[in-house]
Amino acid sequence: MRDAFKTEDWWAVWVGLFVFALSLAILGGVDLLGWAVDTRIWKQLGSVQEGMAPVASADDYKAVPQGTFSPYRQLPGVVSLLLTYAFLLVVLSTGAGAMALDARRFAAGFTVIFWASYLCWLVGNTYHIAATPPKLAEGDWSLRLTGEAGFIVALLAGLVIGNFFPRATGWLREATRPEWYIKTAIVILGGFLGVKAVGDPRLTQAILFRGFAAIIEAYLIYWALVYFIARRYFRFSREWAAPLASGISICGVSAAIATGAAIRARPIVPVMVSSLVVVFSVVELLLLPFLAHAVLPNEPMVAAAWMGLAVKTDGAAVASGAVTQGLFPGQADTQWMLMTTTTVKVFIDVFIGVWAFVLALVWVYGINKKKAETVPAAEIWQRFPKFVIGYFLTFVVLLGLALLFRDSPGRMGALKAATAGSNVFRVLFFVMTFFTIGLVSNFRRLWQEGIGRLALVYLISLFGFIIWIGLGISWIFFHGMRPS
Amino acid sequence: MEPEMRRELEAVPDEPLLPVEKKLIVGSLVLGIVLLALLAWISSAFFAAPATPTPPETKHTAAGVPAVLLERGVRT
Repeated sequence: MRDAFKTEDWWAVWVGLFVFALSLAILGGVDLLGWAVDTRIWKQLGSVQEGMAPVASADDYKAVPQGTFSPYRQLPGVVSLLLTYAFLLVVLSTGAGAMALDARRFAAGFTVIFWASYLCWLVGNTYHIAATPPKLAEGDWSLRLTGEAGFIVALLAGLVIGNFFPRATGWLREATRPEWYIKTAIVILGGFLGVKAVGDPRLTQAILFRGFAAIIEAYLIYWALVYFIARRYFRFSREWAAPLASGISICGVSAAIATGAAIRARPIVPVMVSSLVVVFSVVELLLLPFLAHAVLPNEPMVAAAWMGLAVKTDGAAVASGAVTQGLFPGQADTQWMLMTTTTVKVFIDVFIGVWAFVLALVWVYGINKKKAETVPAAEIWQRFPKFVIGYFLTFVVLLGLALLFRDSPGRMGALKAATAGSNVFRVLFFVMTFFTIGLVSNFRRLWQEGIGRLALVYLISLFGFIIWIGLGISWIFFHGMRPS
Repeated sequence: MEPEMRRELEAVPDEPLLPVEKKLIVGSLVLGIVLLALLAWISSAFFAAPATPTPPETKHTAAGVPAVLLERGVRT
């Protein structure tokens, strides 16, 4: 616990829980988040202000009990946006300061990232890109991509800056933290899904169990195959093959680092593997959601689980779940899709510590065999992703509250407003994740001399069998599930 | 970092697969396949999910709140 205020992982928990706690104040009669900006579909450049409004004016606030203190309904959208920016700037800069980052550089970088990301989100919410029936008027045209198109716009903008403007990217580095943003979003998302779970407990149980089952398979089958190929056919040493197998098969950067530490690899090994993981996860993020929609047009839940199993890094996996969700509008209640992708990914993260512990045991007692060396079980906790605690906490709290209030319309109305308020921030963290994933994905690394052999193992493993085994496992556990 | 990467990758020693590594690989795959069958059976037997759309009363609002909970309250 001594690192509880020093790591990104823990700060995702604190920021997420802070937003979550503020959102719940409305249950006590005081709305503390109604001023946050809610982005809506807008039509013409001259009326861009229609795309922004305080969340207190949203439909989800209509059932708030009378007497609730919520004076934000008439706020202009621009003011709402400025307040949202200022709030996030203060909260995240506090976290950055505590993590011993350069708070001034973080604040400057965050400012650019926030506004660039929001601009992308706004562009993605234009009528001709996002509108779907019934909002799409008869005779009008639209790409029907829903507002989630803004995620792809943010990713592309980040990729352009990250690959063609290295100086600007370097200047933004202090605030380019996709893992922090996505983990915070996941903590907030837990509450949202907790409320949702009340509507269909049977489906929730099924998703939780099947998500758990699917990731056990991912660990046992993916890892062993990649390790074997890297060792046998590409002649990598154990020091290289183990982090590479974890990076490709489990959860990207964090798994490569945890494995590297567990087998006492030199730091350069997981660093190199991680640089590949980031680049390939963007390729997956750009391809897989559309492939899933093409090959699984009637299996939204299989598509969602597939994203969680196949796409590496938390950011890219949950982001691809959000994009996939946007590709299945109207076919099912697609919010269950994001729950599925997130559940699978969170379970994968939970087991990184356990898997690293198993590998440490094998290396210490089976390979290195040094008598003085031991493996303390505390390493499991050290490598446990702490943001998962936040995710389950918000999930359980809102699940409990929704069950408690299910017969009270006033309180359920307030709960609905609370989730709408926190959801604003969840979406903003998502958009910033997409933008910053683009920033860190430098495709020129693939042309670096010497990396070809590593990249080839990655390419063969990922597109040769990981994606397809992930699809098979997702199909086994999730086919036929169509929540409405 | 580029020359360093090239140097590192050129210097990777050739290490034959040890018996313990083979056991790890084969053990993982066998356990994975056995568990796949077992967990697939458990999930279909004990965690069956609705294959057809759930009843309309379980629809949710945009904020994720089950509409039925609100409607039920409004009526009472």
